[in-house]
Amino acid sequence: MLSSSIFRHKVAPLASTKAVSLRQAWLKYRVEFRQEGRIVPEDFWALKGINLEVGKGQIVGLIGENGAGKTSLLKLVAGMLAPDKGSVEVNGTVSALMEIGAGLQHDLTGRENIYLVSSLFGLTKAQVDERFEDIVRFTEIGKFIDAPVKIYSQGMYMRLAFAIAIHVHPDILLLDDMFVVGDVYAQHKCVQKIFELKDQGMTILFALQDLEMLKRICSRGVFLREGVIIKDGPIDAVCSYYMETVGSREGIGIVQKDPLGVIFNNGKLIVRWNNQTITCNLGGHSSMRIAGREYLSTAAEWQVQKAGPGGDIIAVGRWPDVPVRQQWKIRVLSEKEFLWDITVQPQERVPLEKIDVRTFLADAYKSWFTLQEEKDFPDVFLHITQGNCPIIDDSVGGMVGARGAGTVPTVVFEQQRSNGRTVCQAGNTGSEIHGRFIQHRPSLSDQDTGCADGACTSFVSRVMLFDPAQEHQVQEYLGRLAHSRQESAVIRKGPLALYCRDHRVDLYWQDIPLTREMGLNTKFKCQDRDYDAGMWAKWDVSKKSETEIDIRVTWDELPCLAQTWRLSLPSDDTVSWQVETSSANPVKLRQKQVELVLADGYEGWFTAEEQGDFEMLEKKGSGVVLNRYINTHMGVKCAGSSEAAFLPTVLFSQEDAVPRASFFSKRQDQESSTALRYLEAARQESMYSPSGISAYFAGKIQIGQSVQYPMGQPAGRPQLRTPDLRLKKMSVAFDHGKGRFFWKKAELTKGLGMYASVFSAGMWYDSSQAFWEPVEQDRNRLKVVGHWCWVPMTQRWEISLLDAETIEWKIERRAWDNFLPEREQVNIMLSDTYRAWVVPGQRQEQFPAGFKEHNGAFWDRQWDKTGAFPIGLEKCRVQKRLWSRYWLPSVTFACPEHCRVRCSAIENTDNLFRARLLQYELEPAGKDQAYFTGRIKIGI
Amino acid sequence: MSFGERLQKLVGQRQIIKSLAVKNIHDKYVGSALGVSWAIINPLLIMLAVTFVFGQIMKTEVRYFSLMVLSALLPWTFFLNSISESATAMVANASVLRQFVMLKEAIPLSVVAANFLNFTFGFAVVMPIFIICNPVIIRVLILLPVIICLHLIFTLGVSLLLSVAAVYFKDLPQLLNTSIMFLFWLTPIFYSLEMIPARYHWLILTNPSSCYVLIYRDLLYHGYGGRLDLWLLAVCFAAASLVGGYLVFLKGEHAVLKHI
Repeated sequence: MLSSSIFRHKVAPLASTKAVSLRQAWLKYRVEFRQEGRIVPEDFWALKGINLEVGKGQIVGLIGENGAGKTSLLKLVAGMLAPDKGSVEVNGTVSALMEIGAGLQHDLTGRENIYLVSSLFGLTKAQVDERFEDIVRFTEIGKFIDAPVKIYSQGMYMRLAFAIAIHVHPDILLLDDMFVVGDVYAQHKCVQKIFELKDQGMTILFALQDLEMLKRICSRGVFLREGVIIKDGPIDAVCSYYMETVGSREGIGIVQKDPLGVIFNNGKLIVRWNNQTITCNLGGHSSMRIAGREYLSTAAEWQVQKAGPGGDIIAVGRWPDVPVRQQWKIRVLSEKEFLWDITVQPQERVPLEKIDVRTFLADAYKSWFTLQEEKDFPDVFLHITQGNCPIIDDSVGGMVGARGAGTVPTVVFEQQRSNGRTVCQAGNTGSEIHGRFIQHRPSLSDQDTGCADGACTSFVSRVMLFDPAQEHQVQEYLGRLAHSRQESAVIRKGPLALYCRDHRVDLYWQDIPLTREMGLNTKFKCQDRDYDAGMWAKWDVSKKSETEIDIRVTWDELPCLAQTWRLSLPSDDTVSWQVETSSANPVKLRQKQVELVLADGYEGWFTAEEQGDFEMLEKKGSGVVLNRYINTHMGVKCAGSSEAAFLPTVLFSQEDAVPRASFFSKRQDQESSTALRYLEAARQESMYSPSGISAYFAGKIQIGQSVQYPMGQPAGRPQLRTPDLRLKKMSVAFDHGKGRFFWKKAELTKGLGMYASVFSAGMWYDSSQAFWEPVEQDRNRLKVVGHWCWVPMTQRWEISLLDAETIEWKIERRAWDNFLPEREQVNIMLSDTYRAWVVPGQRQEQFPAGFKEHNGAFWDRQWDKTGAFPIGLEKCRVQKRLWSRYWLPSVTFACPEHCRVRCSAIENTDNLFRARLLQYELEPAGKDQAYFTGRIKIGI
Repeated sequence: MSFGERLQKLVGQRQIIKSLAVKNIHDKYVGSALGVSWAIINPLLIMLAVTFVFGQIMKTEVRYFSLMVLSALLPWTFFLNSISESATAMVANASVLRQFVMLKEAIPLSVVAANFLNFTFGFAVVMPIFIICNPVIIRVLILLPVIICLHLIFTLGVSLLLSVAAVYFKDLPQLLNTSIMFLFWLTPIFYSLEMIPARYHWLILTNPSSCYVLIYRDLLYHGYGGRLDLWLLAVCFAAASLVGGYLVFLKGEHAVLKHI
């Protein structure tokens, strides 16, 4: 019998090795909630995008809590249900044991049931006759075969159902939680039989709660949670992962950044590396002693307030019998390190005597080390935890690590707490746990002991894992650590600390490292070469006072030029950063940039008028520019309430009145990071640094959970959102290099609207990328000037309404500094509601239906001809609803004869813009200036 | 899966349909002493009851009134039982559907098959009585299998439709229960078409069951080949019911398991 019963359920010949293949399978149920007599239907997705391939002869165990979607998945495979989206392909016959009892009829005898059920499985009477003896022999129910099954014991019942199902001899057997009943012997028999079937090459899918049973039978495990495959792999790994993540759902948070996985489970911290758990038993946990009693973190009730796949875990634990809370913040910095922060928050005055933060490591770890020494863990595991373990002196590096054998990564705990000292111990656990432990006991200051309300941070550790195959990384790290502990200039104020060393400025806030890579950087272009303050520059760090540091940056290749960075901490939440350039003779600097590189993990960005989150960005890849507008302030923040956020809001603002474009990007170089960058607009007057000292940048960085964006319109930001020109039915708006016009209320333009683009040296520069300033505006006329940031070019636009049907558009372009525009275009992107184009007096045609794929290069050209021709779109009627319709007016774009237009063209854009395009390509005008005048006529 | 493949598969699953039909009959008479014999006893008892009531108490003048009633009542009962059982069949067989992989057509098909079997048993018993009382019917008896066939097709279509519709509209079985009374009295079972005013004939004839019942009666009671317009109607109704019912069934069947 074939498995399928449904049209959408395909039974296609798969590659012979695949028995089952699900691709992006979604399944939904409509649940009808009955609330006070009303029926409220709600869709519930039982399976969400399942991708699963099962090879022939594989035995796969589905693991998951009740309602995770196991049965739904089996029903899809059986073909009883069809996926709402995606596809299911099954190669072979299927027999399923979906419900306890499996269709046995209570009133019928065992014998009758064998015939009935077998025939429902699709066997003919002859086939059943043939297998009857086997079935009866397997069930071992003797004369009860002729008794009604309602008198059977659970074990007999289960064996009978199982026996019938397997004697159908399917290619694929589906078993849904069938071992919940039945005695040990019955189970044993079934397991035995399953092994036989496995040897015969039957593919079996199991859904089972009993993990031990699964481990015995299956080779592969698939862990489902809420309709999603969380883990798919060898059964042992999947089972252990499942075990680590079961518990009160509110107290679990998981962050996975392969190969590192960090699981917070109700007061336990479990660390995984390449699907291998490197902690054991309780993992990382804390133990407080209050009034002589120990309070383990695992005994608390935990509530995970926030947990994201890329972000951090913030959890709060409360003990029922003591008025103390603990807040754990776990933040995965990269795929090999995370921060672990435990804060004790007494709700009232309690005698806190000590707090230990212990990490139980797997016994594969063989030795521990600090900056000074390395010692082996003892060989024996005593009965009682700890005993007399050595106290480790980690005072030099503030670091202790453990190294193991085989595939376990070297793990390092680096203390981030700058004041106070922790007492560190390492040793073996008791024999029942059979692992190693590393324990930190932060010293409690006077205010901590018996501390009243308010928080006392107790423990912040940066945990790093190093691939065992790359021992040199550990050595490099240790070298760097030793180096940095010796030679950095530090300034502090309140929660802020700034470490400056060679090529690196590290900014700490409440002992959390905020910056990545270099921290602060400047970049510019001089004599056609790119320079930055990175490895090729020389740094000279000098500490001026307790809150001021000067850094002098010089370049070997640019002996005439030097930069001086003045970093200071004027207040508890502000870093001031001023950059000056000093040069012996005038130099020309282009693309002047300053950059602040922050930790990855910021979720949202904001500027004066906009805000958004980075999620959109990350999908596109690293380093994508988010925002190209001129801003004086740019900031990043974490989502959620500011108190729960682990990273403080950072606002990076410029204080000099220089127009700069602000950029946000997410990077994934050596470390993941969030970069905030200012790029100065290329204005002629600012490109020269005269000899002597000139300002390069002046700004400040404000840090704190309560940093607010300064209200009001910042200076330097053009107010060009809606400077409407309006005449009768027509109106025009200018929006950051995009001209948009409207007829009545309907916008005729689309996408980039009226825009100009310039091509030079392999790049297109669109007017929407420039920084625009208003020059003049009256009722019918608008003048604006745009500066490009990357190239030395300006455009001056004049848009005027000549009459109620004509827009005049003048463009004057200037370039200097040997910048050569190779091609220049003037474009109007129009709504795709238009269906036909026209070249008056020459041609008229329909646009093709649909748009071509975006291919990055060319759009779908409909018509072109050398010379300046009027080009336009035919008016069209729009049926808005059945009873209302209106006309979109025809649009004609023309330019006077004297305009130097090389080519006129009409195009369809790609499927991203989905718009019609009218285009004039101008004659190459030489490098300095170019003019264009065009008229847009609009009318029915 | 194309329509042809589906039909082919359905034929392949006839074993399942047969088992389900047997199970259906088994369930119906489970524990009863007379068992399947009830299928024979039922029509005989009805005949006795009708003869008694209308012959002795009501004193109708129609000859063999009980035969007139019976010729219509038996097919009607088959139709009625089939559709009302089909309307609850999916839910009643939920455990079977959840457990076994089968085409869901098997459920209404098995219901109709079981009822049809019942019907044929009953019919086989009363058939000799019809012939003895009215030997003239033998000459048109050849048409009997044809009308039975058409009636079966019609019933099957309606059953397919109701079986899947009832899954989505849970009120349907209830609605059916009440509307069946209407249908019953709108069908000329206890009366003949001639007994009612001609201007109401259309009301009777728009009810599909009527045309089948009238043909059955023409054949079995009047010994008359039947009106051609009725035959045409019967063919049309059968075709429309099967096509429409199956289309609706195909549209709704894939989510049946989610709703039962």
